[in-house]
Amino acid sequence: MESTRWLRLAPLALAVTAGAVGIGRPMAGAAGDPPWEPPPCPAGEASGPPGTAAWYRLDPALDRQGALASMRLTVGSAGERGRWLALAPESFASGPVGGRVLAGSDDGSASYIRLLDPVRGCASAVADEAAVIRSAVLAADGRSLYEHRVDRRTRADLGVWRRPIGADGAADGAAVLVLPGLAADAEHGPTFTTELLPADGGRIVVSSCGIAACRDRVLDPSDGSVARVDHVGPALGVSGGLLVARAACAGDPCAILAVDLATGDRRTLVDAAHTAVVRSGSLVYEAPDGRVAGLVLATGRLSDPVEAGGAPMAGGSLAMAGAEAPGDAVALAPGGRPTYAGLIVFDPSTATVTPLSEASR
Amino acid sequence: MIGRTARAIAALALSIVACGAGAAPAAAAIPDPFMGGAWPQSSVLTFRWIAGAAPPAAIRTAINAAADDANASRRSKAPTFDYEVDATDGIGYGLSAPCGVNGLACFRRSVPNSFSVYLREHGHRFDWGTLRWCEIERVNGCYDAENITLDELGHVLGLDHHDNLPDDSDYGDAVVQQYSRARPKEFYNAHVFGRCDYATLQQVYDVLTSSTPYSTCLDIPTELSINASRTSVVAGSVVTFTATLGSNGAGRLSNNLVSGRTVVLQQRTSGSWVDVFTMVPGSSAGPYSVGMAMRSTSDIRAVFRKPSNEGLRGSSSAAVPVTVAAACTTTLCPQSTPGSTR
Repeated sequence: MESTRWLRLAPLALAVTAGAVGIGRPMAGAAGDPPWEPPPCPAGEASGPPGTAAWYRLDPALDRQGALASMRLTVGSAGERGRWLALAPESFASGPVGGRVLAGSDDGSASYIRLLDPVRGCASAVADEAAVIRSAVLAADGRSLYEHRVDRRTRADLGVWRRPIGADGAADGAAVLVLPGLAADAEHGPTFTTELLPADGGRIVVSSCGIAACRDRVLDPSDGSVARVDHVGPALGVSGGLLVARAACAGDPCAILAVDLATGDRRTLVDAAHTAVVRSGSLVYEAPDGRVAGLVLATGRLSDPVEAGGAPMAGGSLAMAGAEAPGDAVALAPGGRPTYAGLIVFDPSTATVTPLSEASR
Repeated sequence: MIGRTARAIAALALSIVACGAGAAPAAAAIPDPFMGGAWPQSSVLTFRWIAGAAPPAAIRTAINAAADDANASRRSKAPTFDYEVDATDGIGYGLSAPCGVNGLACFRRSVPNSFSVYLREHGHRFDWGTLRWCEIERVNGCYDAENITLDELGHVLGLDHHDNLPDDSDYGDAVVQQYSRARPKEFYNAHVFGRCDYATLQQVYDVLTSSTPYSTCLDIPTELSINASRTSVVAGSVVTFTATLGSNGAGRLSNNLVSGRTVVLQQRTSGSWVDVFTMVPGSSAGPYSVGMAMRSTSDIRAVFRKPSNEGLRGSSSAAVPVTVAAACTTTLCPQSTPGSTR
């Protein structure tokens, strides 16, 4: 039923897209390709083979007045041009995790989430909620989905919910509240965005961001503990006992901070960076001059910046693009926006770059 | 982008300025913080529409209007903005905006090399609801794209968010605000830099000309000096007094000549200072002069009274004693003596 309802959205969204002008036109996928309408994935069947690299990007489609008419989600695997889907204006995508891209969309009366599997060419419906699911991420093991909800009428924060996922990518039980919502406070004001980020050790970082600063919470699902850090920027990840986050900046580039979750002590890791990600204990960031560098968080060892030909993609539930990279490497894309031929892999331990199509072999 | 250290130094410098103005009441307006990295004075920052992210017509109009607003209300030698189709810097619109996850708009700056500004698209969803630009859909709760762009251009010039009073009663002092207001709240559509915005621009880039009023968000000391063409004359001789007014603030506002103001000449009579003339501004910046026929020995000084419409403090020059001898009434008068007008 959920899949059917989802698929009913596609023609409507497509019609909206057809009337949109080319502002923000995606570079991936051929303009004339029909939208992808993935069939349901076979029940009980696992996703593609390990190491399969998938990617996605979201692009807005605007009408002639410049209003957001729909979102275009393009998904593919390494070296593949990709297929696209039209989503409602309130949509998101995240991942990929294990070759699957999480995609959500809200039609004004309900929110839907499904797992797209570009390798197998199918999708699994995993959520159908009356509340607005603003965004969601898959845990690193692919067996849990964390979703952030707001009230449909008041837009009040309803917190973060965990939903178990089966090996076949289908929902495997009811969602439960794991982190309460945050009301506006005097220091941070109303929340503009809430971003979820899978982190080391199975933890989930939740950044509730006002116009100028965020309240970052680190949830450890193994024991339900929550550590909170206020007045920082969006989180980039967690490494051991450190939260790595952007500073609360008015613009870009911005400093990157490390905050000790036990003591609250802060130190500046990087004075100025554009996009950045934390992966397997390393911070990889785009320097103001466009070069990419890696910082090993445990040792403080900084690699020489390299002309990588791309920038890291933000990795959280509100990211506009994402790609998987093998091992401890980080995927880069020109301008942080992947196309099927433009994905690069940066290895922070060696500061080397490789085309993703080669690294995935 | 200037490094963090330089930013800290700039912030410290401005905090020193703020402390230097400590004579002002506690609730006095404070200029916007400066984030560091100044462009060359009076340079022109050109922009184009970013390829693939060109704003729709209504927003383009608002952005161009905001550039005009910035140029007209900077009241300083801060750079101006100008649209040029071949510009290398750009302004964009839409979800490609690298604004992070929050914010209605954002900027990038790498002084003195480049800058960019992005506005999110109409209809963008935030947790609190849907972003609407008034230029596209004029409803309560919409944001004024011209105002928001002016805020971003202020950032490009180096302004950080204004530090408002706890009750926000000074919100109208600045466009560069952390929390922008939506229609119909007061100042949601402010289209000129506020006095505390251009106060910082004046400190960093200097006032536009010597006659440009100093922002009332500032409290700049002035210095006034005076010279007399003669200090010993016979009664009835005309002495020309020339005063020079200068500002003694921080940064670009130190040792500035200040022209076009009202400077009066005072004479001490029976122990009290009395206004005798309004001095006439000279053709060049700084000096004010007036000729006065001296009748008796007295002290003369110039006074600049604190104006109500700008942020300059009043000042007085040192007194110049002028000695006046009685006029010669016989046929055997002495030769002209030094200081005499004969």
